[in-house]
Amino acid sequence: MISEYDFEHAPCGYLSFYPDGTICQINQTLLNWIQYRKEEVVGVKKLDAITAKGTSIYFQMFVYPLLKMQGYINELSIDILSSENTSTSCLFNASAIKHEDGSLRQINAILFSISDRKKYEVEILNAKKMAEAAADHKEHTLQAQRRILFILGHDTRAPLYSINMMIRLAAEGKIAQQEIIPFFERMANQLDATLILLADLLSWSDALLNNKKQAESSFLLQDVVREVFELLQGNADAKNIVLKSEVSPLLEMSSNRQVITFIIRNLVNNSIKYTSSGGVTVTVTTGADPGTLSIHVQDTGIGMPPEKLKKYVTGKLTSTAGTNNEKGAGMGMALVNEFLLQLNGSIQAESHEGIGTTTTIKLPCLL
Amino acid sequence: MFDVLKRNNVSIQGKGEETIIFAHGFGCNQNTWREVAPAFEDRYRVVLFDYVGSGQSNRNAYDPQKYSSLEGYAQDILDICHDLGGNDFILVAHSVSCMIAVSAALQEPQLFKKLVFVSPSPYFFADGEYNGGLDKQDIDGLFEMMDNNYLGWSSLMAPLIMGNPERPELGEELTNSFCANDPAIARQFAKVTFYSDYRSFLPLVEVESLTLQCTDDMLAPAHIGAYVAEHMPNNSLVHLKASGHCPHLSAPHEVVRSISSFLKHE
Repeated sequence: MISEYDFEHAPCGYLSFYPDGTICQINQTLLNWIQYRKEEVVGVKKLDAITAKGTSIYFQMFVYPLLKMQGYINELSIDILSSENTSTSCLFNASAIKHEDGSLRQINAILFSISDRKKYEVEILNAKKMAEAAADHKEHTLQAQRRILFILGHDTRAPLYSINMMIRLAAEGKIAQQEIIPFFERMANQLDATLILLADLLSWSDALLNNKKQAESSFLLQDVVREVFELLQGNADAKNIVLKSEVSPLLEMSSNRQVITFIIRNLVNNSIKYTSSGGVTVTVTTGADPGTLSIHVQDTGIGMPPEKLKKYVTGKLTSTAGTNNEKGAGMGMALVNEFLLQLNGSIQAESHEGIGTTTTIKLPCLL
Repeated sequence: MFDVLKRNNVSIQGKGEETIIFAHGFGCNQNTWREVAPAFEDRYRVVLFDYVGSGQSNRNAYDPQKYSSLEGYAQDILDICHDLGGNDFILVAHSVSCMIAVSAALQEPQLFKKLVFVSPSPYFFADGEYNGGLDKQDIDGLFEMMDNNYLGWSSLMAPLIMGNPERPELGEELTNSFCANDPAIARQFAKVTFYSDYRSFLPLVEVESLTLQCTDDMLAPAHIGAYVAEHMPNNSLVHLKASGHCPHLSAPHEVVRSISSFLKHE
């Protein structure tokens, strides 16, 4: 025979409750865990007074239905909360006592404390999640690399092929003396886009290979925008496009400067490329969310339809010629996306055909 | 392509001119209706099914992209309707299935004659004057409980539970099999469920509908049932005595009575 003392001080918690959660019996072991006196609990408290709300929802969604369907539940891992708000990790086994019509009358449960074992379990669970995230990341990087290699092969082949042709023609003496200089100019133009493409690739692989932390520095965003504008001023002048910066002179950010420069250069370059007249404005604002920096690049260009915009933003658009027939590698946006992924940033764009496009990138930051 | 009736483990019982389809909620399967559905078999053709990824559906048909929104799940219901043929379906849905039913009824309103929502909620969080009853911490807690308790699920058991629709007794023999769904799919379904906001769709549903509201339902509190009834042009609200989130299990007779009287009322 089990004595009352044995029951009260059993090496496990004991609990009975009604289907509405009201506790009708509880032993001293469990009371010690939750730090209440018996009269504070029995007939007074419901189960949700000693569990977190997420657990109570879980009971409504799964535990009561299971008790009703199969009459018992075993090895449920739950946390029990004390009056002091400390928690005890438990395994919960319960069986249902039913009325004659099959409805639940009472639920009897025992609880084993598994706090130490639980810590170990949490470690395993975390390790599993980390491994899954790492595998996802690796897969994504692999895919990006394949895509970039494909674009690279595709986009360097054509100019090199035509330059090769020109050199052969020159070598075979099939070009008149007075045509040589314009000929070389055409070759140089062909190479411009290819060189930009290779420079982009270099900065991308640089960022991949180098430790991200090492590459981080503090700089004024304004300086980066100015630098980009200086680089692209010639392109803008050729099309009478005004570059305008509204970046606060004090806005300092801590990030990989090379990468930020790359992203802004690509966005501004695209804006110039697809604008025939009017202006490209780079506006940088800090978003409503205190931890986020938003950089807007706005143009008055030809815009694009929604389906094209979606591809553009995700870097999956194949390059098309600009309004002045500028060539592009079609890889800039793919790399912008890669970089934003590394910086935990995001990109969005809004576009209206004939009116213009506004591209916004968001970066986490500590201002 | 998949045979829809096999893909969704569709079971058809009863006889009658009209067809009732019962749609289970999140985290369970068609067995959830076992004390409600048989009561309609003498007057209706009664159709039960498992959503793809739940119960004994064909797991190979699970496409994370498709099922990343409730519309994907709504397609399961529409496919079943098309496969069965005809229209004037009566659709009884529990919990998250209610908004899946809303989606289905908006996509192809002509298919449905009446809708019944058991414990519906169009949005679980607070937003302005609307209070869905939960906050992010609650949901995190629930997801943590789910992560810690893949009841009855292990990859050893998975083939037994999911792979033998022709031998359901295998699934039934396994502990907690009623809730045993693939954790990866369940997690995705939970996310889709809890982060969907269907409030703006409610006023667009013209099909006649009924809302069954329990007491003490943490997922769908009483004022949410009232919100649903108020914002749907053709919805009537019935308060049940049953408590909790699953009245079709805790008070099946009351649920049967309420649905029957709604269906008879022309």
